[in-house]
Amino acid sequence: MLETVLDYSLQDLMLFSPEVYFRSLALYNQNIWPAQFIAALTSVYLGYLILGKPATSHKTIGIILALAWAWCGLIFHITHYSSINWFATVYGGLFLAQACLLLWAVLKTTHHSILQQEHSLINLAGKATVIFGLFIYPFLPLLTNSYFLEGQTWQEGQIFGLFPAPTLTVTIGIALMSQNYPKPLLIIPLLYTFIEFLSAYLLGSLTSCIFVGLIILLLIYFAKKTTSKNCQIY
Amino acid sequence: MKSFIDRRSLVKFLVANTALSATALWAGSLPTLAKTPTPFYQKPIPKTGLMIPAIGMGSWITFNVGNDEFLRNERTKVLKAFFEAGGGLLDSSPMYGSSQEVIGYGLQQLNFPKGLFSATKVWTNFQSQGVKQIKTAKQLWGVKQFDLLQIHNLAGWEKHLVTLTDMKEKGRLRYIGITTSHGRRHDEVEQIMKTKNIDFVQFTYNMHDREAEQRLLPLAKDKGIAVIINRPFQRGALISHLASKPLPAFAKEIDCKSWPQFLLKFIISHPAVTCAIPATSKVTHCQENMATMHGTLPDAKMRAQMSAYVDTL
Ligand SMILES: NC(=O)c1ccc[n+]([C@@H]2O[C@H](COP(=O)([O-])OP(=O)(O)OC[C@H]3O[C@@H](n4cnc5c(N)ncnc54)[C@H](OP(=O)(O)O)[C@@H]3O)[C@@H](O)[C@H]2O)c1
Repeated sequence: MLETVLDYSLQDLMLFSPEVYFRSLALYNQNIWPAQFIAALTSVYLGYLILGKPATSHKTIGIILALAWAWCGLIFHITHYSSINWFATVYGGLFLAQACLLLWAVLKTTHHSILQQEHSLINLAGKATVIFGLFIYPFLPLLTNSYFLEGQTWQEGQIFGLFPAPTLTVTIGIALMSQNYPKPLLIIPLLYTFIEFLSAYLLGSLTSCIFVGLIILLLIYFAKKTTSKNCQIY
Repeated sequence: MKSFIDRRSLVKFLVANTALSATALWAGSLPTLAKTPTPFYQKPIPKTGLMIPAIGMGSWITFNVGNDEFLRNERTKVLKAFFEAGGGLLDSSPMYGSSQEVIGYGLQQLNFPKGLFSATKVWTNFQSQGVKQIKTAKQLWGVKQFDLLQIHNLAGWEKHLVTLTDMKEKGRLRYIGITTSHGRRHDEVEQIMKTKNIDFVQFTYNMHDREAEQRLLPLAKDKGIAVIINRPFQRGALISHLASKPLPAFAKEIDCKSWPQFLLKFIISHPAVTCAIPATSKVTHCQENMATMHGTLPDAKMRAQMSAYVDTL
């Protein structure tokens, strides 16, 4: 199929209209109700762990992240999004692989590690990214409604753990805050950030800027950190 | 320019179509035609002489609405408008996400309108996967067999041609076709048209993309291959480009009330073109497009005038 796909321009691979895409987000929210309650509580708890008790909660944080990636892969991509986008099955596979990698990293970590407490710029950027992913992302449709993309409503709000984009954002934020986040665990997030950017760009949504920002942060992070010998998440 | 329609052939064409529409009405094969005025532009498939309406409908993007029930019903309304206006050829592909399933949903709601000319594609490099795609497509559309199966963008065309030829010989398929778009791989398309036994070819032709006039359209006419035109509006870009510009006064002479009709009439009046397949998600647009099948068809002189005008914009 790859050979067949390579015959196409980027524009050809946008298989649906913005209307259909944004309605599909609302429909998904409707279908998974009331999972949003659990996801919202998890977001608050995760925010508390990451920003309040990072040093002692690395395993819990890792497990929550893994579950979030697994849900997005299985429920969002493979079960839902694949009905309008046949690439979604591949994305689902990538998300499940990332969930396994995260779990593997959690199990492999033997001693406590630290989400950095120092006031470096990259650490601050990480904290801001986490806050953005957990607490601002779900409300973006309300903020962007009249400015960026017509037709967005609160029903299309994307919550961490249930939707790929905020899950990705929080994961990247945590990586930026972490001293020893293993670089291989950032390959899939980087790849998917690029995919999200392309989709948003092709849909004409200015949320594509968010993904450009994340890619830039990740590249800075990659350039800054030296290869870690200890494979630890936090 | 010798291939353009002349006055005499235009008169013959209109008479033939008026008669054929009446016959179709009488035979009950196009029951909804009663609501539409004649003449009604149909064109023959050269290999068999079967007449099909000159405006069909595509389904890329527009029919990929997934499981959204509201949008599925909205698209069913588009299908209803299409068949009520005498529509026939519906084009889809496994590449178009849920489009085939949504078409199948709509057809079922509408009790499989009799005018349907079902056209889909195989889109894979592997022969066995192609066979599976055809089987799945039949289930999704809810049809026993397709009128036309096309090889999408020439992917694995040699292998699929074997499958499709075999199906046709066994009476499980009426017509075989190949497709391309955006002016891609015209040389290869030309070679296949020259050397293989195909009934249909589909490519892009519109008032801006006119490369096909040079070789593909005359060749199709020579070889007796039916021609389906995709991207008649350049995926809407052509309409957006022209929207703010005035329609020329002479548009009235060919009964065009809007730019989409002007663009479609230019395409279907080419003598080698069998059918254009604009895609739409809106009932009003569908009705506007289908209305192009009525009124006066431009002759060669008028076509030249049309393109000259658009070139100045
Ligand atoms: N290689 C291939 O086999 C191949 C490649 C390309 C296309 N195709 C086939 O050809 C079909 C047509 O091409 P396409 O879909 O790319 O583009 P198209 O038909 O040139 O343009 C479709 C666009 O035009 C708009 N439109 C349609 N009628 C209109 C009207 N009366 N007024 C204003 N806007 C109107 C539609 O918007 P609304 O929804 O708002 O009406 C839609 O966005 C495809 O759907 C597909 O079936 C095949």
